[in-house]
Amino acid sequence: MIAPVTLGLIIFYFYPFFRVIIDSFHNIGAFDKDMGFVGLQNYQTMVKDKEMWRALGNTFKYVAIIVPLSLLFALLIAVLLNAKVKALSFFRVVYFLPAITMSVAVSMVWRWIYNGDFGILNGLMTAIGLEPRLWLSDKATALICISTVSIWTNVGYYMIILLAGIQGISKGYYEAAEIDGATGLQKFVKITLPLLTPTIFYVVIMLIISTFQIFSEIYMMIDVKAPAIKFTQSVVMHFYRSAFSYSKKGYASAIAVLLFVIIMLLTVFQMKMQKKWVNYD
Amino acid sequence: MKKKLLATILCAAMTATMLSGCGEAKTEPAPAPAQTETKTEEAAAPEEAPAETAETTVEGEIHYAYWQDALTPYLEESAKIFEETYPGTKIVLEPTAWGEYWTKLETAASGGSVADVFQLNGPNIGKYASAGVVVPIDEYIASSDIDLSNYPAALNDLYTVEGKQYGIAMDYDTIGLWYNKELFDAKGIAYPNENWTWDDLVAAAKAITDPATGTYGITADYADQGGFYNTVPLFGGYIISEDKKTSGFSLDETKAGIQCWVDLMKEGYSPSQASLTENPNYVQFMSGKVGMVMAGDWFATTFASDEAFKDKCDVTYIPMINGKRTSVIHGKANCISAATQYPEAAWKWVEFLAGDKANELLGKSGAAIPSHKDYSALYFEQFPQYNMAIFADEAQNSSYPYPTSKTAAEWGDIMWNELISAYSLEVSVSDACDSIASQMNDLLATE
Repeated sequence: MIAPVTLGLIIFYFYPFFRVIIDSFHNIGAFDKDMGFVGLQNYQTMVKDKEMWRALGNTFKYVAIIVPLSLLFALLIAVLLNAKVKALSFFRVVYFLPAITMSVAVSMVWRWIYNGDFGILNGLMTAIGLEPRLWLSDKATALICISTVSIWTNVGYYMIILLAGIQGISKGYYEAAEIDGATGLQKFVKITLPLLTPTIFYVVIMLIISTFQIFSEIYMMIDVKAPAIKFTQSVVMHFYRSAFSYSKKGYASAIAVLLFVIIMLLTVFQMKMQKKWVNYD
Repeated sequence: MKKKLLATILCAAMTATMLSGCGEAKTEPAPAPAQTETKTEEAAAPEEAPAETAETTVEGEIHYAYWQDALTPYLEESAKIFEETYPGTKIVLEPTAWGEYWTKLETAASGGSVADVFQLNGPNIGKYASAGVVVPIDEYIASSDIDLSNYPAALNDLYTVEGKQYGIAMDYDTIGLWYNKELFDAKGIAYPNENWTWDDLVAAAKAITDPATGTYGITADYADQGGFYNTVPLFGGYIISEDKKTSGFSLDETKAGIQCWVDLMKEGYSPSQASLTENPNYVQFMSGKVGMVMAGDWFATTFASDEAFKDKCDVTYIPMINGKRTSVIHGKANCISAATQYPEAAWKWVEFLAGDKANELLGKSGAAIPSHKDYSALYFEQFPQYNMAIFADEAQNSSYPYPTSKTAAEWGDIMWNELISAYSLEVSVSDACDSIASQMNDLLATE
């Protein structure tokens, strides 16, 4: 029964996983030509590769911007949509829509919104008397613009998960609090938040993992040959360019391994830290 | 509960890395075979049973990969005629957008699922030929009716690697100076003409540039074929030496050929490099905010198909520098995959595309200049409103061979990487060029 799934896992996950580790010690060039075992050479190249460090720095910036803001907005909207408002299901659908739309399509639309000469955003800017900008080419704004799109797509999905978490909290707590005369804010801080920590923990971990892998938004919105690529490309984007534009597949594998190690260490660290704040009672 | 969560999350973290790894995995389902060739043959084998196909009969399904969308109608028609001529064949067209073409082609070639016949260009022929991904076609040509002298000599050379020819050019292109007549009229300046020098161009760019209306004289963003490849030889420099052993980027003459573009940028006569990356030169040109753009003949189709714009522009020669005139010449060629199951049919298709009928169809389609000299004029006739004759004249009388070598794709990236900062006015042209020269020389030493 589970054979097809297991087979799929082995072929598409386990085999590539170990293969990437092996490849990272080989010099593999154009047309997958393996030029032999080179030991740690790919890793040494990585240390000296300025682009790599810049990509790593950019990725941490993405994480620092996207993770907290996605969580904040998802939580805010989840709480709002938990209340008895009119057209509740309509709003839930609206907020969830970006999550089920292909990120490629989403990025294409946003790319046009941001377009320096013909974009809606600049149209609005000029309408209210502000200077138009080259949003996706400007060092100061490009990374934030990409993050915005990512947050926009994240919020819907994590909102649903948090909403499920909120609805799993027993009504009894709130009733008791109401009898004691607690305000809405007090109920949120003293009941909802602590009892939601397991869900929040899960959301944070998943957000960090997915943000470390940010790729499609950058790939779709920033041309591989754009000057802006230097200050917007993530580690995965650098991996992609190394492997598929520059045909350095051994080196690219080393980048993938590094990313894996970073994500794993961060995740293990968070697992250790959860004792301090996650409430499983 | 906690254990389970830990396990799930570790799995998720693991898949994280694998997601990025899967691109490679898909292309290589079998554990590392030693050589590309054996692998590709293995992978191509199963589908159709080739049991009794005699080697001489022309049959089989030929997949044909190309990038230029405008070619599709001509190719569809060619395929129809070809299939009628050789009833056992079927042509499957595989167009891919320019942005993804090379990535896809290389991935497919690595994985053994590459098209039987595909288009290559100057920067990539060396890479594909020296890796043995495409086959030499000298013997095929010798035993056919093809007369190579019908095709531009510069392009036969371009597709010859180490004495063997790997492809026949299907089209050729040269570069001209396109200009927006309306903007010239508005400022009361005479249109560019064949006697123009670079100074005239700069003066006109200055006159047309008007920050108040957001109008620019010219687009001077990073462009090799449509840009400094043409000006560098005019200043007496070169990109790569004739023996393909040294880079020309450390020469002052080469730097001058790039500086002239960056100067236009510096003066503010061109939209910035960043702006031109967001919206490429021809788009800005067609939107009427740019007076001149140096671009290839192939833009004629794009300009002419826009009802509102088609009569507003025309084209002339690239301005002269030091009393000389030139245009780099390039063309794409049809090459045969080393992994094809049907080499005979693949060759017949290449031969057909190089022949009279296909060249005639290509010329009439208006998508590209047919490489066969007897049919080039057909293309120009499609655009009577433009001064298209200049492209043929350039090709015959003042063309400059497209600079390339085995590692051209790689030093092409180096060139871009360094010069993009110069065009963005962040570093000096001289520094960027010196850096290119040293990296490029290292690379050329490995050839």
